Amino acid sequence: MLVFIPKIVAFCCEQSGVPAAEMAETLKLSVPANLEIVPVPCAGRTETLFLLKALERGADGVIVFACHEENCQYLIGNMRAKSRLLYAQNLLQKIGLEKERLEICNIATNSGVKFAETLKDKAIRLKELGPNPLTRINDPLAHANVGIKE
Amino acid sequence: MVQSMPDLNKVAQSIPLKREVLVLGGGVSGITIADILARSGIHVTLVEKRKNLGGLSKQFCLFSNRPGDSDNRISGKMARLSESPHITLITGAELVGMEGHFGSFQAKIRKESGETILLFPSAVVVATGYITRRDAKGIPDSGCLAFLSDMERLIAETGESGLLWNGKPLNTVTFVLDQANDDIKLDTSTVFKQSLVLRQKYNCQVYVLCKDLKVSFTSGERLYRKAREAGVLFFKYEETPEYSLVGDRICVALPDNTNLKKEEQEKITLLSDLLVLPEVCLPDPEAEQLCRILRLRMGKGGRFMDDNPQFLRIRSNRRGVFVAGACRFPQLPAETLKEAEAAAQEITALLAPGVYECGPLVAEVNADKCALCYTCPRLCPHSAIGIERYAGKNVYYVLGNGDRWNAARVEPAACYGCGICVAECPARAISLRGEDALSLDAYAK
Amino acid sequence: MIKAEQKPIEEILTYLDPYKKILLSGCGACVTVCHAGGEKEVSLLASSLKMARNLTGKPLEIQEITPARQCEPEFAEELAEKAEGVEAVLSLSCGVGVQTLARSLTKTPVIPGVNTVFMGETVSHGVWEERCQACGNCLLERTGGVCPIARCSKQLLNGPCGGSSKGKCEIRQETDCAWQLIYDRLKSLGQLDKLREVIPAKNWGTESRDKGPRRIVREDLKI
Repeated sequence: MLVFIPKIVAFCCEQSGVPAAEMAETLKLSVPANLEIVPVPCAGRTETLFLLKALERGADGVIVFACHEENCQYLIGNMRAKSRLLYAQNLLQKIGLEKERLEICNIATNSGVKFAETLKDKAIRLKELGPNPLTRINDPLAHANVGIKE
Repeated sequence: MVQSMPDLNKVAQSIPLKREVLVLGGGVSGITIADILARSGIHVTLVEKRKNLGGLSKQFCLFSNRPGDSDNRISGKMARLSESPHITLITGAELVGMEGHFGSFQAKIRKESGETILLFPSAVVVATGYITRRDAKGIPDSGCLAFLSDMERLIAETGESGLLWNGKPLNTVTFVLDQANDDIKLDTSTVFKQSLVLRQKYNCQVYVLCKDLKVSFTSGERLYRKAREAGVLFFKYEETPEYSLVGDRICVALPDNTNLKKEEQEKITLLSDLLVLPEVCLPDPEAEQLCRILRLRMGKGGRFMDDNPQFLRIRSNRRGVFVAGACRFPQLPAETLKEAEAAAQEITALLAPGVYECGPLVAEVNADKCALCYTCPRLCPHSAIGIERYAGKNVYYVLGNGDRWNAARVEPAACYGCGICVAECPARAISLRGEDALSLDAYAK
Repeated sequence: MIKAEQKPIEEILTYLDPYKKILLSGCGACVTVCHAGGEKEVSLLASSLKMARNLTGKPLEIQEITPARQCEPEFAEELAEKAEGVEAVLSLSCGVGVQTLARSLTKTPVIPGVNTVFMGETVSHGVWEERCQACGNCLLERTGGVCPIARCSKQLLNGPCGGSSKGKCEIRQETDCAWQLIYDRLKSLGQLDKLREVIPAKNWGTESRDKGPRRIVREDLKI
């Protein structure tokens, strides 16, 4: 039976997302399969291009984990990341991709549970949205993120 | 591409640090920091714009509950300041310019005489304090109004005899808090202490009006309970009370908030010999100018630095520049002293190795691609980027004279490696040295 | 500096419809400074276009390049060489760059990807406003450094109209009244007397653009 396991790329800020991810791991919380974590020193390092390229290369969804507003270690990184994400969502809408595939989540270092829950929610929403339309184009049957369920 | 373009990116990884600090402001914070640093053998230049040291500390001599004691503490420090070989004191002087970055600060001080001197500190402390304003708006002019600093002085100067105000004996005093100074607990603490002295030593009747009881400071709840037990009466108000004169006494009228039904609230009138208000605490009007000179971020209400918990109360957005005391936010003297000690500790730790090792992540500009659009200097939260014409500005890299750079340049010692500039640059001219390029490669091309 | 704005992507896609392989060229000068066509925007646009075309089942191959400038013949020729083998060039440079490039590419269409809007300054980061309309005879000396041709909605040359109110323009309330600015500036310079000199009506025919493309010739520089 073919099952759609959404590919999620998570850009994790090293001041918030990465510690939260490590905490989730320590607590042995389950995170969605097919998750790629890309650490960045600050959410502000996430270029608008990264968000688009992730989708271009077949990811079904992208999430940026950043510090809470007014809590950025580097003061404005999380706000810059948010502006870029909104800009990218605008571009996506114009070219016919769902803007909901991109998301930013504000998180703290001690929020291992929130980290895991947010990713689980994202996987569920991506399942509803369906696979990245770009990957379906070449071969409707063979989807990069579709696997055989045992 | 110019063949002879120097690779300014191959700069020194370690920046030498002298044990030299510039402290701006000679109030409680500035004096305390200078004192501690000097005792560790660090040379401090203390610059104070007024003629005298002490700032606003003269106004509050009861903060350790023992009137002569606090004066001695400050005087003790001030005496040490003038005797220490490690401290250069310049009064009547101001900072008028500061160039460079951490490890290469060049501070221009203008003295009273108009002469300017250049200092080269390894760290700078902003401890410029705040100003107060006596706001008597809405209070009838009667000689029945005083401010907290007046009461402080009165209590300190009155001995065992009774309290006199304008020749009249003081039997009843009303304090009104919270008409201004949101979030500042200094007034509440001072009022608790003054009212206790008035009750216990001089047997005055004391009324205290407040919107909220701000007891969240050390001993706050205990002091409040003591004041209540001593017979100080507290009233809560929402709208501004009505002030009027009844004979030669001042009358304060407010609704009785203990009755929840607004229509049934009776009016309470309090007659007293003296109404005492806190001075309004305002940021120093020169703070904005100083922020611009120092390239620091401005916080809410004109104070230095954002209210961001990551900054631990004494760090600023720039490496090597610290903010301490009331100029960041007015607080209780005990807290101010702790903050000053913390600042001194951070600076001592920073300067102790004698050298600063640049972090693993440092941004670098490719001068060939730089379009001089000024995006990165504007955006860098740490003020670590400038536009430089000649490489000679980089003091750690020895170049031929007049080698041209003509592009944005990130000072490695001031860079925090956040990568915000890397992502913003419209020419993609900036890279983050030390970042794991492999993980980002898939998404960057 | 020249300020431009990227064309809506829907419009660009319409232009690119007939092609399967293009060169996307940015420019490292003006359009980089206003974030419309530098290397960053080139890579963003390339990614968006590729995805948009993949979704419609007609993939588009894009080569990306961002030369330092496009508006000198030599730059354009260099770029033209890189354009071998592509069906069209999408250029994010200003109108000058597009045309300079087009002149070197006789067989390959050059499509503009930005609208060149005005010559302007940075009001604040991310906000740019028109300051110069290349009228050909600069009168800034007489107006304290504020241009009434570019900044006055009616291009009046001798003082404000009756609609100037509290320093703002009646045509668009957010716009500062240029003549108010001129007055304030001349006052601070102590040059209010200049307002008494009448600036004659502009001869758009000889000084400016109404007689076709203008030309500047420096005989002493000619090789």
